[in-house]
Amino acid sequence: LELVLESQASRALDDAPADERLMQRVRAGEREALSALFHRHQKPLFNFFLRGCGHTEEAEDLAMETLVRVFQRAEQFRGGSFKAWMYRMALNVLRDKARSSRRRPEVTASSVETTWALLEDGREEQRPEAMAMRAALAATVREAVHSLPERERTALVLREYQQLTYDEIAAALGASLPAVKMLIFRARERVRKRLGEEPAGGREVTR
Amino acid sequence: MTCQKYRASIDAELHGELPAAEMEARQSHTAACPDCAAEALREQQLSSLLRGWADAEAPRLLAERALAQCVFEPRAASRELFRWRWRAAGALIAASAAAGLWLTRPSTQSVSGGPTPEEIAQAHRAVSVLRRVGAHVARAEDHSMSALERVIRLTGSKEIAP
Repeated sequence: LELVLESQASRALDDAPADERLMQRVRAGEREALSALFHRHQKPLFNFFLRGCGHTEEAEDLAMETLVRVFQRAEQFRGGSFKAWMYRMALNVLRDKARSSRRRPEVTASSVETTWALLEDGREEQRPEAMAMRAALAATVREAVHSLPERERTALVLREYQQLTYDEIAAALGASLPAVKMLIFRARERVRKRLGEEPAGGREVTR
Repeated sequence: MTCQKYRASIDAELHGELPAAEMEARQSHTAACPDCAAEALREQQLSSLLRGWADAEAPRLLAERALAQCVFEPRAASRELFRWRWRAAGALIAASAAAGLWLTRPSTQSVSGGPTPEEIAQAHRAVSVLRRVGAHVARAEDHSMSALERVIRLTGSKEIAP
């Protein structure tokens, strides 16, 4: 565990300044720096939206819109955490999308389930039983996360999957630090309760 | 350290966000409090379970397609300098043309030297036209004033102040 924590901490230290340096270079007109930023964040952004909306095409569109907006608004970046700034923009993209379609993004456990089942089918796997176990666990977790209220889910996803700090999540959500801690605390409690009711690996796999 | 304080920062501990000094106090606490030690273990297991929902691969060429929509333009400062140079050049050309017309026009000047009141009025009108071009050509206007001053000095008038 210590090794994992150390590697996470060192990665966080390495990444943040590098992102900011890249943004400085983007603002100076360097296309290579923009390309490096896009390649670094395309996968986390795509997964952020995929975990939020559950639709591959929509997640792809939203991720691309966010990347383009990063470029268009590069002059507005005033330092601090690039990730917090980018995810704030990602949440704005999500809100704009919901507003333009006059509905909230459709997020249902079943849509997420179908999407991820398809994605996992495409992966190479050594043993069928390991695949079934992993799929069952992932399905249970997905359902638990998607059963959360939207704001709690966003905070938890930013924390657990996007690896943002409390400060970064507060900046991205426009919330206070205590509010963010409370959101994450409640989200974890709910997920634990849900997973406790339906232990991982105990679900029947119907695929 | 109280149990409440310990449990409030288990998540921060799992994400490696606590200072080393606090970690020592936490280890002392769990050594004496099996309930908090068990709670920390449950939270750690929860994080492991959550990460069981692995990342999907990004769609092919997502970054490239986003890049294709990004067009770098000359920086704002460069654009402004570029525009200013063109404006200044335009104003200088206008001033030179005015001076050239002045010099080549049929002379109505008296033999004793000095411009006529009509010539002075024309000079003022030329300056006024240049001023209407806009405040951003102030420097160009200085150049045009100098050119007109030279013209009028050649013709012997001191009445150049607008």
